[in-house]
Amino acid sequence: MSAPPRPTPPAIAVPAAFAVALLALPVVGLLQRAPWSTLLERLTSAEILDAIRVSATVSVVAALLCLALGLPLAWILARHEGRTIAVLRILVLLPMVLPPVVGGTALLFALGRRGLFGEWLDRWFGITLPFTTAGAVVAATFVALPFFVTTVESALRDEGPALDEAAALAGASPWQTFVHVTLPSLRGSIAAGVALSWARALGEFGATITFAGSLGGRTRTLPVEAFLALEQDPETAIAVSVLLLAISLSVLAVLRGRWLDR
Amino acid sequence: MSRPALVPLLLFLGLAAAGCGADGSTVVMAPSSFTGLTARIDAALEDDPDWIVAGSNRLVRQLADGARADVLITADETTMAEAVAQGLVTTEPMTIATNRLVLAIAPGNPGSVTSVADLRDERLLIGLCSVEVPCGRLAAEARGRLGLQVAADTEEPNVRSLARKIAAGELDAGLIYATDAADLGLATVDDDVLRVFVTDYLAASLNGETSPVIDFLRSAQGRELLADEGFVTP
Repeated sequence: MSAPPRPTPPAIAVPAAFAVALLALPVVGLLQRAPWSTLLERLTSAEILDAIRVSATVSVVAALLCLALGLPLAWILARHEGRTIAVLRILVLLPMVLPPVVGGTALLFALGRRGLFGEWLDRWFGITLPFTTAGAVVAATFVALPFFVTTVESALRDEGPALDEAAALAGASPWQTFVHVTLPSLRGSIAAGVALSWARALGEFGATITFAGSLGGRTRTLPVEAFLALEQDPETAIAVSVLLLAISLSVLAVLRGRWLDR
Repeated sequence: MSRPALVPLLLFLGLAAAGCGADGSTVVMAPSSFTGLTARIDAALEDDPDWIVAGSNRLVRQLADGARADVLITADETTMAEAVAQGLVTTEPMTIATNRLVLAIAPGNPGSVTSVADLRDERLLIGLCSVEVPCGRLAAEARGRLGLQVAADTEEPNVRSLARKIAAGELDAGLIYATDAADLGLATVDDDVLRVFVTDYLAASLNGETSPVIDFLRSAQGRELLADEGFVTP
C-alpha cells in the first residue's frame, strides 16, 4: 500500500473523524471507569473463571463450525447464480439484521424442546439443545455465520473463476481444484472470516441468553455474566468488558500481523 | 434496486415519520412483573403514561445514569432503598402491592412436578431467576430457609423471561411470582411452604409531585385491578 499522494479533503476528513470519535469514545469511557486496582482480583473469581471457560469453548467451537459449514456455503454462493442463490444470500444476511433476542426466540421455536424440529431431536435422539453448552454454541454460530460467509464469498467473487478454469483445463477435478487451488488462494480471507466470526461469537449475548439461558459453568458466557453483573456489581461488568476488549484486540492484532495484510 | 423492493423501505420511513412528536406524558418505570398490567392501567387512566418495564435493579441503574422518569415502582424493598439512598426519589415510597413466590409448571406438567422437593430432580429442566434480580433473591431466600436443593438448568435475567420459558414448555418448572403465573395462565403447585416468601412492591414519585398513577394504584379500582392480576393489596 502506498501513501495517498495528496492531502485528504475536509469533506472526507471531517465525517471520518466523527466516525472515529463515535467508535473510540465508548472505549475511552469504558477504560476510565475500569476498576484497575482490583481488576485481576475480579477477573480471577471462580464465577468469572467459569465464564471465561464457557466463553472460550463456545466461541472457538462456533468459529470452527462457521469455517466447516460456512466455507462450502460461501463457495456455492460465489460460484452459482440464479433465484435460489439470491434467496440464500438474503438468508445468510438475516442474523445480521435480526435482533439477537428475536434470533434466540426463533431458535427456540425451531430447535427448542417444543420447537418444530427440536421436538423430534428430543423424542428420537434424546437431544435437548436449550440450556446446554451445545445450545450456546448453536446460538453463537447462528449470529456469527454471516460474518464468515460474506467475507469468504466476496473474496471468492473477487478472485473470479479464471484460476478454477485453468485448473480444469489442466485436468483437475472440481474437488482437486477446490482443495489445491481455491483454498490456498483464500487463506487470508478464511483467516479473516474465522477471526470476525469468532469475535462476533465471543461478544454474542441476546440469542445465547434467550436460547441457551444462563447457568454458571454451562451457558453463562462472559457477555451474559457482564449483563447480570450490571444489576448489582457494575465494576465487575466493566472488568469483564475490558477483558473481552483485550482478548479480541490481541487476537485480531495477531491475525492481522500473520495473515490479513494484503 | 427494483421498485417493489423499495416498498418496505418507504413503509418503514413512513412509520418512522408517523412515530415522531412524542408527547410529554408521564413516564413510569415498573418492574418486569408489571408487564401484563400496563395496558390495563392505561385503559383505566385518562392520560395513559409511557412505561419503561425492566428488572428493578436495571431501572434504578438507568435512573442513576440519568434516565428521565416520573414514577418508580420496584419489585422489592431492597431496590427501592437503593434508589432512596442515591437520592433519586422525592416522596416517601409506599407499598402498593405484595407478590409471592410460586412453583409454576409447564402446560401439561411434562415433568410430573408435585412439590418443591421435585426441584432437586436432575432429569427435569428447572429454571430460577438470577440472584441479581428480586425474584432470584426471593428464591434464594426460600432455598436457604427451606434447605431446598435446586438442580437449576438456567438462571434467567428476569422473571418474565423465566415465566415465558415455562409457558413455552422449554422448562418443566420454576420459581416465579404468582402474578406472572396468573398472567400467562400457568398452573402452580400448591405447596404451603412457599407461602411465606413474599415481596413488597413499592412506588415513589421522582419529580416532586404526587403522581396520578400511584394514586390510582392505591385507589379501590386500582387495588381491584392489582388483585385481579394475582397481587395481594394492602
